[in-house]
Amino acid sequence: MCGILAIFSADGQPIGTQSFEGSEHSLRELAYRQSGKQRHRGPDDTGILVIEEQGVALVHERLAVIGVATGHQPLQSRDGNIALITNGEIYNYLELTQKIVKRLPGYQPKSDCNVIIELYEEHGNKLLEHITGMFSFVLYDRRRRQLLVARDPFGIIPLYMGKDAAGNLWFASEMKCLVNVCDQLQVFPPGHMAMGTVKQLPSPVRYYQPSWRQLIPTAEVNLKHLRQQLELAVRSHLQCDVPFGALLSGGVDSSLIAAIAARIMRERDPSYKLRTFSVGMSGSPDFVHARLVAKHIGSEHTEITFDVDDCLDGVRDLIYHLETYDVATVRCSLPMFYLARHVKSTGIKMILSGEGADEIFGGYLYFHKAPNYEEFHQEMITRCEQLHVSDILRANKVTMSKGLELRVPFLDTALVDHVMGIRPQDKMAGALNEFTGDRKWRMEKFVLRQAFTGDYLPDAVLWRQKEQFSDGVGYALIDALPNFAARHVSDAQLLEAKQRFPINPPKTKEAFYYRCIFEEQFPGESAANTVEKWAPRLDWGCPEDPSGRAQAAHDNGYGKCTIDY
Amino acid sequence: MCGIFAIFSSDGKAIAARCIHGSKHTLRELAYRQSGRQRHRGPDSTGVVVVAEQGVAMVHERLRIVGVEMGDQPFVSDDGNLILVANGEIYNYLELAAQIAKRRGGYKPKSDCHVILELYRDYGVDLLQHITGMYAFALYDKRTKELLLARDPIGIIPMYLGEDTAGNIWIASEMKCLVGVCERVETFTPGEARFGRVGAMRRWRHFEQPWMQQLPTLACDLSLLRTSLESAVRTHLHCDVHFAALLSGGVDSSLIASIATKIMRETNPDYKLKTFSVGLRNAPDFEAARQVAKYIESDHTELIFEIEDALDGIRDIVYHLETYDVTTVRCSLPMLLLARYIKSTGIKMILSGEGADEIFGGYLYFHKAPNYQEFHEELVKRVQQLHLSDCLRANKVAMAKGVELRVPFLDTAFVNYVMNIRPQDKIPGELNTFTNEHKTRMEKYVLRAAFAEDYLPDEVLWRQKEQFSDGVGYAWIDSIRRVATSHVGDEEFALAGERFPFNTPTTKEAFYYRCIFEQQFPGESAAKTVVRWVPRLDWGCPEDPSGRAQAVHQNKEAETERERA
Repeated sequence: MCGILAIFSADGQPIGTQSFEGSEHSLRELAYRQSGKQRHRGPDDTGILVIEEQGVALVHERLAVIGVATGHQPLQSRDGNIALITNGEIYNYLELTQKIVKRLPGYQPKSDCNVIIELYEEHGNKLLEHITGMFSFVLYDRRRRQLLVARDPFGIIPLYMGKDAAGNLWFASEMKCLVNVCDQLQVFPPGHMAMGTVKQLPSPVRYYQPSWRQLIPTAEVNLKHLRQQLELAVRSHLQCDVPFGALLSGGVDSSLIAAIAARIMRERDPSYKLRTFSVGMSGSPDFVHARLVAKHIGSEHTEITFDVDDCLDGVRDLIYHLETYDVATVRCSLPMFYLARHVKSTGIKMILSGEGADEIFGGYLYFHKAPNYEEFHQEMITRCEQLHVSDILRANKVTMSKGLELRVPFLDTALVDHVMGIRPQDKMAGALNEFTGDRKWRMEKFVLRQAFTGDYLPDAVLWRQKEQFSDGVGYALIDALPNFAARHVSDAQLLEAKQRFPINPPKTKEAFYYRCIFEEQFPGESAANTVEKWAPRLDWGCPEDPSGRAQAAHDNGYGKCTIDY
Repeated sequence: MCGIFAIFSSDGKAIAARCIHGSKHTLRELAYRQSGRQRHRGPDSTGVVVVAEQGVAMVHERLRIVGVEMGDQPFVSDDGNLILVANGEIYNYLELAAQIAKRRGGYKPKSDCHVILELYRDYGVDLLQHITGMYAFALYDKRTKELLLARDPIGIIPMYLGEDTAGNIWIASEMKCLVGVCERVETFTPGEARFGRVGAMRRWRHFEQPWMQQLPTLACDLSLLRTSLESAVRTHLHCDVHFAALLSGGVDSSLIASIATKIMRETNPDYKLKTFSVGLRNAPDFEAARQVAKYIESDHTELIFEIEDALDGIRDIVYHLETYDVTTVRCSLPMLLLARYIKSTGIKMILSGEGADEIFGGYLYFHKAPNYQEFHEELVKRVQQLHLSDCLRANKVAMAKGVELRVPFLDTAFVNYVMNIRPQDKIPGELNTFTNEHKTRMEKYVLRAAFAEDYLPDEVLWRQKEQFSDGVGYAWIDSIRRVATSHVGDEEFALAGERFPFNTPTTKEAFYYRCIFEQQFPGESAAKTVVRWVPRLDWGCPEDPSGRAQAVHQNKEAETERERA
């Protein structure tokens, strides 16, 4: 994975040298300097292409994972007319290569992303119907002076766009590259693309339009297909030319991914040992479960323990990296921030994780309160669409802050389409579940667990109830954060919150503190507007505190209240 | 290697929380934040210890090399009274640990630096007479509120000292942690130690040698020279992670790589050292490095860089180096690209050849030394300035990317041996009287002669020194000079004396680096930490520090022939 940055002059003419923060900067120098703010995403190599006469600069910060020796970007077409910077992985690139070879004998992709250029030559913006994976890219066709910008269906990979005072157009993987140069900035929406000339680039349009977004699905679940589909997804996510590992949070989602990955790797090498990692405070309940899984799948397992102070140290850096002030996201990210640094230090460049299962199967505890099938399905759609501002934003930016690529097989496009095409009756958590037409109280993510009974995981994990990641790693941290933040904010300051922060005014001292740190690093209205808050459905009777523990269904199975907040 | 940081309050009392950049910072938060500026030095973990009631904060940014599992710092003694943050490698730690174990049964060091804590218990400040290696450390004794600060004899490891307006003392591996918070910043000089309570510290030199004052008279013993260097390399191979060696194509780094290979093959006859070279396409150094790689059968990688890619890094390199010295900036840029590349391959430590030119008199301008006395004095001066030039460069550039660089030529025992050799044997050119035989000999003749058998191909062993920045390709110096110059107008350059009264830049190139430095490290005391590399003008050397500009270089071929004949 990587970081990308692009600048396009407003009129297609050269952008002259300009004075910036005390010295003269050519377009190239400006591009390199601003992209430097996301260089953590691409610790291995920086590549720059400047097309002076058209006022275009493309920068690529690379973490080499596939095609280590040849995959340097920006990539260019053979005739030099098309230039491309991409962040992400195109999981079906080998398949696509076989098709391209028929048209261009001898074609060899320099990396997975390389196929985008050839597909563009053949299909134009319809190329998006061909590639699957996680990606953001900016492609520039210098003959037509046309650009094509796109982001993957769920926004696993971040992308921001901005405009500076001169009307020049900017794109970057992280907002920090744009905040001091652009007056306007916005999130480039997932599943969207924009194609046109710089002067007339239309607003991004949705290219990813699955039927489950419009209609309530009616297909019954087929457990065997479900299992095969997830196995296929994991298989495609294992294309990797460098050392990798898997996270074990102790929950069923990440455990399943690790179990499947271990099986696939053993097809070729029966003695293969997957490297797995868990993070928590000493005595965390998650360690026990992760250990069970590690033992079951025979992984080489590492437990990383932290104390509260170590995590609190990172709050400021974390908000800088996350580019959000959402309380739940900040909380959940602290242990992962700590973990990512450790994993990176062992030489691993890619890790597999379980994000996305809760969104597509309805795994959050508050889904137990869904009043009916329609609303249950509708809420899953909302959650999928918000993934890029919550879990996926967190997963990507936290790991990339340490130059580590995170892959999320549950968000494989074909798998999501399969799972979101299952009727809500089968997926619904709690008493309304009607799997096989038999109405019965069932656990959240029942069909997923049921599909992998057999030898994949120990039962204690397979049937373990969801804990929000932030809770699972240790309640002491969650308890410490409000107090820690409160020490930085006075009562009087909080009273003025609405005046100081009219957009999304913080309601607690914790939220206020995070917001101050955000504001310091990302000043301005348009930066504040890029953030959306994670909130459970208040209208379903859920408490506002985003901690999983605060949800009633926790720990007991049957909706007995264990709210301890 | 690592980064260390500490704050000690002026009166041994608590330091209250204060407002910085818009939010309240406790002492711990302040320390963590300021130390964050050198976090590149310790990508693997951060450790913080705060003694709140005494106003002490100590932070350690760690790159795990020796004692990967156990060595996270700060180290705290068993009774909790002594706290240590150390950056560096103590090469004789196993010997020392064995001695400590005799006194205290069962002692096992957590890493090489851990012995410092134990030795302090036994010897107090005299511990400095026992350890050898490259280091900078701060040790705090809670009972007496005394602190001990020390830096290695040559200054391979950087350390800066600052004082804020409240009189609190700050320590950091890199100056960037101190600017903005300290009124006064100074380089902690090599071979120096300070001990006592804040405000009443004794200051002395713990490294004093006869060769600093007197002209040595010892005749060179080639066999002793060889075994001394071999044992230096041996101690520098203590390493629990992947390592490699640089091959610049010159004799110094080549010898280190060759010796390292021989040592590693004692235990594993198939051992292949990983080696790396950097240069422009067709750089003269590549061919020489390739010969060495072939000769020692290393696993060799050539990193070819484009001039533009290296130029992109000018601003970053000034920030990392914390200098505006023209030569240092020029020759560090290719090295910055190489360090990044090496890090991306998973290697954490590299061996290099720095220091040989200083102790043997290898720079071409030494040919102009008028007599033995001045030759030796110039060597002493160069050795004492290493921490401002080559050591500074080598350490900070490698650490910018989280790679540890080790320099066996600067092993303390080896430096002492070589600096005690009489100048008659070392002086290059016609004045050389090795074995009392007057004859024109190449620079570093005794070093080459000591390794005449089976270490290196003759072409490399007897190759004349090229300044690194020249060796990567002549076009490099011309380009960087041109680009830097293009950023400075005649008018602003005319006012250089007023703008920079201290160390006034005399060329536009120097002026440009100085401006970048000034933006990042404002203030007079920061500017005064820099000393420019200047050859001896009084020996008739041109001011341009490029090796090529020295007259001897043109005669290279002829001289090499003569020498070998």
